[in-house]
This record gives sequence, C-alpha cells and structure tokens, in this order.
Amino acid sequence: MSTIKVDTVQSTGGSTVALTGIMTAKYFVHYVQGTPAVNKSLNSSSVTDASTGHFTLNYTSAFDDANYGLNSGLGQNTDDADSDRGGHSIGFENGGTVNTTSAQLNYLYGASQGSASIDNDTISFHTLYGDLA
Amino acid sequence: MSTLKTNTLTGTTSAGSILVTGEGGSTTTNLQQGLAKAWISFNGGVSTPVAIDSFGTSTLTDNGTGDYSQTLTNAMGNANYVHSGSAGVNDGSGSAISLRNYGYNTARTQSTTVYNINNSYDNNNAINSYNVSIVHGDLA
Repeated sequence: MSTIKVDTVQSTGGSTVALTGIMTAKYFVHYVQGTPAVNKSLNSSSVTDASTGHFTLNYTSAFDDANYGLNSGLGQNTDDADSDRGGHSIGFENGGTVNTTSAQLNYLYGASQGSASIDNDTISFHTLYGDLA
Repeated sequence: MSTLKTNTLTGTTSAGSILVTGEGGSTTTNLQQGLAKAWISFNGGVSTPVAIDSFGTSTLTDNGTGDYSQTLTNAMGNANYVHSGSAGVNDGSGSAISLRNYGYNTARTQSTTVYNINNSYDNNNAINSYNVSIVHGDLA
C-alpha cells in the first residue's frame, strides 16, 4: 500500500488535474426554508430568501458558465402525515436567473395544475455539478 | 503529462482535506467534501425492494407504500447531510410521470446512519417508485 500526503493537487502546468473516475460535487446545501437557515453546505456563500417559495443559491467560487446541473431532494420538515406529503416539486425557477455565481429556485406544493409556492417547514437539499471557473 | 499512482490520498495539514484546482484554473474546491459518500439505485415497486446498484449503503427498509429508509455503511459526521435524487414509475401511464416526486419523510428522523425517502404524486398519494439517491456531506 502507498499513501501520498498532500494539501493541494494540481497538474504540472498548475491547473486542474485529471482524477480519473471522479466527478465531485461543486456545491451542496442543506436548506431550511421556513427559518430560513443553512445547516450544511459546500461552496455556499448564502441562500437568499426572496419570497414565499422563492430563494436564491449564492456560490463562494463561481462556475465557468451557467450550464451546470442541479440535483435536488425535498420534503416537509414537520407535519408530514401520509395525507400531506405529495405534490412537492422544486427546481430552477421558470424565467428566473441562473448565472455563474447564483441561481433562483422555486419550491411548489400542490397538484400539478394548482401548485402554489410554499415555504413553511420545508427542508430541501441541492447539489450542483459542473466546471468551476 | 505525468501520472501519479497511489492507493490512498491524505491531506498533510488536515488528513481529511485536499484542495483541487477548479476546471477554469482560478478557484479551488475541496476534494473530500465534493465526493459522493453514498448512492443507490433501487426499485421500490417490488415486494422486497433491493438495490440495483449502490455504493456506501447497506440495509434498505420498506416502511410502506412509497416510504423507505436507507442505512449507510459509514456514519456521517452529523445528521445535517444532503441527499438528493430523483424518482420515477414505469407503469405505462405516460402522462403521470411528471407527477412523481422524490422527497423525504421527516416523520422519521434522519440520523448519521439512516435517511428517509418518500415517493408521492398529486396532493396525497404515496406510490412505490424507482429511486436514485446520492449522499453528500462529511463522514464521521
């Protein structure tokens, strides 16, 4: 067995190094929208609570372009009885801003045609993949 | 081009922290924090849901319709870790696919070793689904 101890890995030219088979997440956040509060994060400078069900993820290190990927999970923090746990959806806000340093998201609750923005008691998880600047 | 071959990478200042340069060359990101600590793809629509493929997970518990608990092989540092994913149902209904959701049931407690997944549609209908789930955060 061999162990390499190092603090920073760079290519010989000083830029990114190929880590074969590894694609790391460049951002994640555990966000409680009702408070609001960030419980755990990577590369998050803040989450801005814009209005009910609307919030903006802000990044410490920028992406190199706005074509990064979002993977989310969501749910109710409390009051999550079987009769009250369906119809949630979340994602980049339709018509909202997605740029290299931030993205607007919208949390909806309700049946598909009658969805309303919501923020009470909602926890959501967001992970971003792509290239950093 | 140079290639470094090793079985283990460890930080010198902090064993669990290594920075890698971002793709554009002007930022850095933490290698360990960016790594997925577990992932699983499973079919929740069979009588005993099992992993199709997985990493870092052990027991998958079926609590009821659209209600699952996933145990992690290695404990996380605290319960505030992230699990994100997607869900779907191949039931031939076509138009209903957009209603499938991936969420989590906090009527059950998320701990350092167990997290929970709910699948539902419309306002109040639990449903068994295929799920892909990815865990990020700090290991213990």
